[in-house]
Amino acid sequence: MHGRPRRPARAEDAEAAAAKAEKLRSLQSQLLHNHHHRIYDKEAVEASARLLEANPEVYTAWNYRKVAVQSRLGSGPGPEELKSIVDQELKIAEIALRRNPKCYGAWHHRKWVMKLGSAAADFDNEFRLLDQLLKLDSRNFHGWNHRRFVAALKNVPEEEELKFTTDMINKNFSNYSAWHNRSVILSHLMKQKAPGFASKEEVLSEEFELIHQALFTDPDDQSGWFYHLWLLDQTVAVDVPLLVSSWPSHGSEIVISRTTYVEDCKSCQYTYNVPHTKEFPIVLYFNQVVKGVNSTTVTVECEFSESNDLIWKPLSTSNSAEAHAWVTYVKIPDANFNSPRGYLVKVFLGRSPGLISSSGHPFSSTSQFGFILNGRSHGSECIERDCDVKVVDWSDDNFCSSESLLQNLAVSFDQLRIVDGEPMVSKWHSETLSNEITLFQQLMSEINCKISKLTLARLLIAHDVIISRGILPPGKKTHFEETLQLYDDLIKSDSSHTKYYQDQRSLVLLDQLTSDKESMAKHCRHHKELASTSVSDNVCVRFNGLSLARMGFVHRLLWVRMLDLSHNELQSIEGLEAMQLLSHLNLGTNKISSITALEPLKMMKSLKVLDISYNEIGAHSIDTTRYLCASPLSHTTTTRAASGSVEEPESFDVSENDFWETILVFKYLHLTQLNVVGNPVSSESFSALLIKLIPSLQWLDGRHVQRI
Amino acid sequence: MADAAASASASAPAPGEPTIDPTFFDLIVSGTGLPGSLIAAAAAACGKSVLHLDANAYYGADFASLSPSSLSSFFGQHASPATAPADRPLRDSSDYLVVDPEPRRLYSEIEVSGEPPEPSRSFLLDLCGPRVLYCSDPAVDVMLRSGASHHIEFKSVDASLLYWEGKLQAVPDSREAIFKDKTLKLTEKSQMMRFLKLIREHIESDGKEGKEGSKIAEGVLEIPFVEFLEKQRLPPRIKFIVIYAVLDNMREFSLTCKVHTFTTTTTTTTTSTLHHHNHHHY
Repeated sequence: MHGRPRRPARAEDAEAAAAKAEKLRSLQSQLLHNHHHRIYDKEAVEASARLLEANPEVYTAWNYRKVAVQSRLGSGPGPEELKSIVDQELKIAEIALRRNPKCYGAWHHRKWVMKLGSAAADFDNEFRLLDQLLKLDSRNFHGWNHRRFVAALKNVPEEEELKFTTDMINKNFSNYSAWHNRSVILSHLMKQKAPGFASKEEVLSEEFELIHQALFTDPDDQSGWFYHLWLLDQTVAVDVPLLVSSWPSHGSEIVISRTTYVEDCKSCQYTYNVPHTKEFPIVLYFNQVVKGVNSTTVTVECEFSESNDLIWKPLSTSNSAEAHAWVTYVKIPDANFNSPRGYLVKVFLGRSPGLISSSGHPFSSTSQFGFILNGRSHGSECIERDCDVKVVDWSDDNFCSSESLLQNLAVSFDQLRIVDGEPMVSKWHSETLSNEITLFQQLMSEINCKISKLTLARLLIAHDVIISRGILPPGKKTHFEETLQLYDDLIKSDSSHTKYYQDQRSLVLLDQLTSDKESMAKHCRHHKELASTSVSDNVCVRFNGLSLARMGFVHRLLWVRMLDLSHNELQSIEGLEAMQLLSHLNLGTNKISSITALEPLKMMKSLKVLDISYNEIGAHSIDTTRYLCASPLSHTTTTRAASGSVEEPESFDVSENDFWETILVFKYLHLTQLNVVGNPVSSESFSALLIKLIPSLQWLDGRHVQRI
Repeated sequence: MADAAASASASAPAPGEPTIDPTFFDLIVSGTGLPGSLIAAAAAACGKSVLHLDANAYYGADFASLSPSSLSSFFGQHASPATAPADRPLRDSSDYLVVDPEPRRLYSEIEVSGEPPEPSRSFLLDLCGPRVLYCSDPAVDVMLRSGASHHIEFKSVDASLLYWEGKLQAVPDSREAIFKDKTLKLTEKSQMMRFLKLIREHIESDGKEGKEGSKIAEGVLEIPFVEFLEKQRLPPRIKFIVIYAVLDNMREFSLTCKVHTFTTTTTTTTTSTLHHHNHHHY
């Protein structure tokens, strides 16, 4: 029950409690004895009933009764006897629920009995009791759960149950359970395309209309806002997995080079320096987490080699079978580096079934993209080690913009978009969202409430997403500035949810920065020193000092090789793992608080130069990310492999947790330069461990690594 | 004390008119409105003989509820210029006083326009505004103590309807009713709820420590209620609902607010709250 104040305990209560405890103790020991000795006679079963009447929370007693019922049923009872057993158990559960309408054990028992004796169960009575219960407390979610269960058991038409939620909402619309049940039923009806629910658009329009009544009547009530969020998700979400971006992008021309010097590179080309492994990555980025990417579902046709046995790997730290982004590495034969001709590579998706979203929707439309690989005949080979000797300096003075940069960028940027028809976007979507935006702007002029602000921000983002899907006429303007302003307001006015707002704000900002080539160009710079020395394409994307709290829109940054994320608020770098070409990464002066938070780095095969200076690594004794990532505590297979190769922790004098985590992350990195200065974890012994773990390391904290 | 026989003899009854027997009463009450009925009932309860007269063709005097058709005849009667009381032959003698039973006129000016809303037979109209008694009203106590409650029948209000733009519409007088109402615009809903919350918080904060913030400022309470509504930027329909239908339920507030609005008379009969047939009239 809601809104009932607690009564302070009195002296006579204590006496009564003591007497009750005594009674309970005796009943309980009796029960345990019976349970243990498998005594299911009438007397014993009745004793358990008395115990449950006194205290319905004794789960063991419920279990005992279940076992007792099963033993009685074992003798194959007639319908009469089954009915009497079922009725008796239902009665006990009813008595318990009258005592405590939120008793989990009793509800579960009732459900179990109903299922067992559905043939003998009195459904009318069950619904009558439920009506009674929900009349007393219309927000008892156990009651709602049970109603869903009973309705399914009895095969009550879902339309009827939907009507029931409507009635309950009309009585009092501050009811999470009612709205939730409504969303469950409607999801199912729409999925089944039941008569009257075949058009998702019509159903959603009606529901939007209904929820507006609640939101405008009482904007302070939260239950309606949650339902609105569900509706918004239904409007925008695309169930079908789609390819949103790839590297190399469709129609691009990539120059394969073994040399690190490239002179007068044509502006339309992107130069890829083949590492010593002579491999070349192909990255697929989907609109959602997908599984089943393999050499049958995705086929790669290239002129120079048969690639039927490509191994696709998910780029995800948490799951080994599904991810947003997948990568494969194609071997390039030596011969192809030396001939200046172009080789066409085609990638086909969805030719054979198996590629599905994590929620089970298959990749339906086949799609393909192609790019050209160009060998380079001239130029001398140079050894990687020599190229990387200089310390990369990330200071502002070292960056400059240039005319050619924008041109170069224009090409690589346009390539980012893969033309892929999305039939899910219609005029209805944009109209609905525009209408919602207008309404909530109106509401905000009436009242000042944070959840309406947040909803408006979400609507604006959703609207931009719909626009960006591209079916609609271009020229519709985006709402980045307005959305950012809303999140800024929310960060200021609602301090308890600041982190969430900062995350959302970061995503909007990243969307804006990467949305077109003009805004992208503003954050691209040439690195002066690198231009004259080693990295052929020295464009650095600088998202520094933007208060970013998380990464996003990585699918638009797959081509980036040098990324500056310093002076932000990053606590996590999740998402960066998709950037397979990234070689230089600056995470200096952020809020990264543990080594496990760096786990995405393990998947970044090209990473050479890393700056994680002035973070908070080691400052917090409890590493909250550990429970989300692989670590010795989460029993991953890598653990054993890692522990075998490195000496005991004692020899490094690094605290044990940091030690294991350091091994598990840095062992997989092939860095030449690393900067960890300014973190609580840094120490002489930590440095020694890092040098041992990363054999390729040449510079640590700005000092040349001396190996004996 | 009055001598009915004396007055009867002074102006002998016209043939055909009923004669009154007995001819002597302890008390003669003119007007069958609530006060008259209370007095008559109280006197009768004390064992007095009472003659209860009414000049109208219906019971209830100003407290009457009439069907739309009788209402128009009522208006027709009242529309004709009344003869000034001075023109009436008033004979004053030491024995008795001649009292003109013609009631005071309820309305100074009447203008009838349009037709009564349909279904016109299913409701009655109160002659002077809704006669609703609240459970906590002191009048309830008076009626119980005087014994008048035996003679008066009460009904609880089943529904409130409002005549707006040619239609009778349910009054959205609760959160759920506002939610369900299909005639209110979305912004009207939020404005109305905001106003109701303002009032509720004001009433709840009364006399409570630390709740002064939600109280309406003293200065604001001094201004006429209509101006107060004006200041709340409420749309016309909401103002209408608040004044004629919802404020009924917030009398506490309206009293503290020094409301002068309920004196609007001429328009109320045709456009104000129409209470559904057999509600709440005595």
